[in-house]
Amino acid sequence: MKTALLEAKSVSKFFGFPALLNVDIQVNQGERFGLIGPNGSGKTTFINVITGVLPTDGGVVIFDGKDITTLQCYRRARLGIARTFQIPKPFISMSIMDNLTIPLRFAAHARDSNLSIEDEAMKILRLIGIESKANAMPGDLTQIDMRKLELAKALALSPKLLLLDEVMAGLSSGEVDDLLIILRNLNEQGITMLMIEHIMRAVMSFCERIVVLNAGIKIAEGGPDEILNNKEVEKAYLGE
Amino acid sequence: MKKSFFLPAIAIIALGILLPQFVKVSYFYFAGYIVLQFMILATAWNLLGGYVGYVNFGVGGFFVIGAYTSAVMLLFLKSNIIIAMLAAGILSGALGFGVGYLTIRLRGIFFAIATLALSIIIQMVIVNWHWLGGANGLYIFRPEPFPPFSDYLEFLFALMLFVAFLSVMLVRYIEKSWIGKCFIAIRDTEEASECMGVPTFRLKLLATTLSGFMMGVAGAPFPYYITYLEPYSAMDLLITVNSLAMPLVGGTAHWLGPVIGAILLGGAQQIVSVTISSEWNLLIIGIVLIAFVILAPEGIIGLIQRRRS
Repeated sequence: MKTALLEAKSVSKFFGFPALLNVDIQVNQGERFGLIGPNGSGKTTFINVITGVLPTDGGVVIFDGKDITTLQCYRRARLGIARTFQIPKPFISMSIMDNLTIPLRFAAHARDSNLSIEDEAMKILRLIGIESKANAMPGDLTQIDMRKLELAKALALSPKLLLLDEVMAGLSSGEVDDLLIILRNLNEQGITMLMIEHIMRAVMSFCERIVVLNAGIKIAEGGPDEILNNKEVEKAYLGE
Repeated sequence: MKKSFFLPAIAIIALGILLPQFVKVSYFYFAGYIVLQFMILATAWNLLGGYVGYVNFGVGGFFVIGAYTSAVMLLFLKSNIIIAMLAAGILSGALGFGVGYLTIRLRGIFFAIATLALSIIIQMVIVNWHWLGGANGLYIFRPEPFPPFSDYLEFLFALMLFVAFLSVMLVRYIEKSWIGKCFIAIRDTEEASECMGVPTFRLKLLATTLSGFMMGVAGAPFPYYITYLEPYSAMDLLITVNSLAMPLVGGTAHWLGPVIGAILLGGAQQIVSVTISSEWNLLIIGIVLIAFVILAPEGIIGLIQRRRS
């Protein structure tokens, strides 16, 4: 029996038009979940609603058995919901190391108390492969390292659920493969993942289950093969 | 921490008491008081503007609330100056707490405009409040000096010196603590900070309240200093502009920035108003500010740090 980690029940969000309309999504414990759809279909809005960056206009969000629909954003982070931003948002006036100490100090509920915050930050940087940049400033990073920093910050939260908003955009094919290995390892350690991605190769190989959004409405749900053969999905992406 | 606080604290108190025994020029205290007053205001402004990144354009409003609260306490309640300062700080701090709620919806330039509007409202209220003297203002007489001071102004100077020391120490402590780190995280990206578990709203409330409190305290001895308090000169544009220009000149990223800025800019203003004319003050701030924004956007502290590395 699979237990749900995240349940979005009939979630809606309006910006004058429905950005999300009665969306039901359930992500199970330990799952690798994919969320795809054309531009403007509401994927990032869904993440914003789940993390509490935006309030919901309808529906219920349940995380780990708790109703978090009205919970403040930082409290959700402390419960173990981590996200990356599509456009990386580093703390620009802090070193890479200090960037990680903020989530480690304020949100990492499962922090290893035997390690100092600095050691823990180094451990994460090493895992992501940017440990040599620990004392650099975010402004000196390449785009790729910036995305890795974004992921490292999310991991520093020691999340139960990791929401990945296009972490692979702009990466080369080899780098995508490297990152997928890292993510798969993290998933095996028990982190549930929800991935938004336009690189289909990555989504299809990584995700066990996929939901497709189009114009704020869920149009399909299923395993990668089902999604690939779904006529509705094809229509959403390619038109009639 | 304790030793690094108490030793300088005693030194500052001693300086405030001993200086009048040697320097008898009354103008020194008259000018020095203003520099110290701006040091507190600039430090308070920097707590919110420099670290958290919310620009307060209504410093005059906080200052004048402090000054009038204290005037009421001194005149009508015959209170002690120290108690008047606390009351002024609490009222101004309460205003700061209210302003903190503005940060939910207003950021950047919109927050700055809202605080400017707020300070204009405060001025209008005081101008039309007859009990507070309205546009006619209030006369406050200084008490007799008490030993070791031979002039009450010397006592006010020593008092401001100590309050400035406390303000700078408080901000220095915050800067080095986790709160300071979070303030900077909020300035860099509020959205991501919140998603990293930082309670941004609560921290912003803390910053606006503390900053307001310090501005109120800075305004509290002003009635005794000026002896005639009226809303137009007590809420001069200069107060807001100075409180903002001094951290920018000194450097907003370091607790020493506003201190350096206050001494340089405030000192220059005092010299200029004696040697040239007081009307040149604003022009000088303007030129210095433009020069710094273009040539040294990180202030003097930034210049020093860049030279070192």
